[in-house]
Amino acid sequence: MPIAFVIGLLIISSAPAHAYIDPGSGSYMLQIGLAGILAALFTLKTQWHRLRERTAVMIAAHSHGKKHNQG
Amino acid sequence: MSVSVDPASFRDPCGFVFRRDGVLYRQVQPRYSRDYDLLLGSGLYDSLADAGLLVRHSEVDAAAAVSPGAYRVLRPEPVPFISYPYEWCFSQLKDAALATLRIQKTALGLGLGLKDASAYNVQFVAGRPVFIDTLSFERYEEGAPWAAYGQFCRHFLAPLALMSRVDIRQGQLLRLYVDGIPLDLAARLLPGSSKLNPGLLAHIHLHGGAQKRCGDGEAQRHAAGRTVSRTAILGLLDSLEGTIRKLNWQPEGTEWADYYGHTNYTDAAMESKRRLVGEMLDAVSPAPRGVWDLGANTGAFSRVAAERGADVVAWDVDPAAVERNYLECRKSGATRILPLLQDLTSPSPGLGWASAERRSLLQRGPADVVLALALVHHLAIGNNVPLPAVARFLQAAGKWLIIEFVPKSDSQVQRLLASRPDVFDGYTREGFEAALAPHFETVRVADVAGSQRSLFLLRARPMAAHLEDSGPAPYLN
Repeated sequence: MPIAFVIGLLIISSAPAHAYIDPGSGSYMLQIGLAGILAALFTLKTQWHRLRERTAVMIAAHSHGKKHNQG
Repeated sequence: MSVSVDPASFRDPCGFVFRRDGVLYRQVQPRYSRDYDLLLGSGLYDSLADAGLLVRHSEVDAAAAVSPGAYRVLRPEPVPFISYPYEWCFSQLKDAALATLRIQKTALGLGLGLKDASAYNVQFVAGRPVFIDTLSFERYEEGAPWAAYGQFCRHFLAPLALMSRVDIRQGQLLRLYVDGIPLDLAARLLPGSSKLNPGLLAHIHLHGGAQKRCGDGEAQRHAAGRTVSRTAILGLLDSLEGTIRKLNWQPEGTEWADYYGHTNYTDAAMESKRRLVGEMLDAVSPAPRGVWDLGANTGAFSRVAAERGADVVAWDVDPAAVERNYLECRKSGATRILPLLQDLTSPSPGLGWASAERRSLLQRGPADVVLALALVHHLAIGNNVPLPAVARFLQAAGKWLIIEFVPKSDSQVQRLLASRPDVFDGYTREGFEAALAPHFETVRVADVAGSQRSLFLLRARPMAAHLEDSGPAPYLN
């Protein structure tokens, strides 16, 4: 995932250079350029955490039921 | 009746901070009414204040306003001591950065966002970072980028990355660049390997490059019709948080980090000194509320003052000592001690517009009591500061002084003299007392058992007397 992230950033950064400096505009443009990657990574991370939580709950419930049946 | 507008509070037209008869207020202007009502109505204010992340305030009668037409006048809870990011250790800056991101995330969830992310909006209260600018919140507009992203990176990420990846002392660049370290400069100073870190690559290297490339009109043309989703903003905050969490610094290898392991104090002498400092603090009347421990190291004697209910600023020149003290205070919950970085041979000056936005060290005093323990030989011999000049500085710093005299025969002084000629003929107990006499009256003198050192409890003479006799500093030799 980090490799795809870096490649994506490098593609986005290949914009033409301009002499006029506006720090606010650069931050603004970078966010627009990165928006897709940032949103995708964040969504993936959120889904992954949800999946892990659900799996942990299911495993816990399963082992609890097993113990209950054995007892 | 005295009214003065805070010299650091002029950029935001939504309001400003002022003092009336010594009490701090914040005037909210009508243009901020919509956002102020949303801050309170959305539950964000309560949520952040309950979490200890935002300073609490009460609304007072609008008659207290400085100028007519105020929407509200607020009275924020006082902050015991105002400190600046260039006085913080690595972990303090990191904690302040993470608090700012947490505030922005919480705000987004309730339909608001931070319109600025200045490190100067954070102060340490009871050992924790607290956001003090109540007017920094604005309604979140769907699709808008985070306006404070650049400022956040300049004020927090760039110094943290430089301190962690290059040298801890590069945090001092914040003293030079009051609106944060320019990202193109940070990119040039960071090692090439930092580009392998996705967060540093994006938020510093590409960010710095984008700022150089984008001109005004060009950026607006490119941006036309393009938006940044809320999920993307959350992704941006998540990426910043992950990058900052992974930046670390281990305090080792600096001059003072193991100081207490190298002192010539026996356990009995240390105990005697601790007891005497406690007795002298108890003798100060009224009981001190604000104490400055100059040269505090990791704060052994700051704790003696804090145990007596004083708010202590534990100053030290060594980033490792300040870091260790902060981490120890955080771990033990010592909420009355604020460890800060300070080089007394070049104390924090007035900075910013008209040199008045960020106040100098002495402008933030005087403290009720100054502790100057095992300090004077470092100033007088280590840095060639004449004893009368040390005395004048200490008189301006505090109303009372507990100071330790370390004679030349002491092994710590001998260490300082080992690599240099002894040009300090006036550095004697008699010279020390003579230098202090015009500025302080002596209340008590006591020898530290098991050492050659002495402690003095002194009360500062009124400053007018000091001004009358302040001529050029006479050199001791």
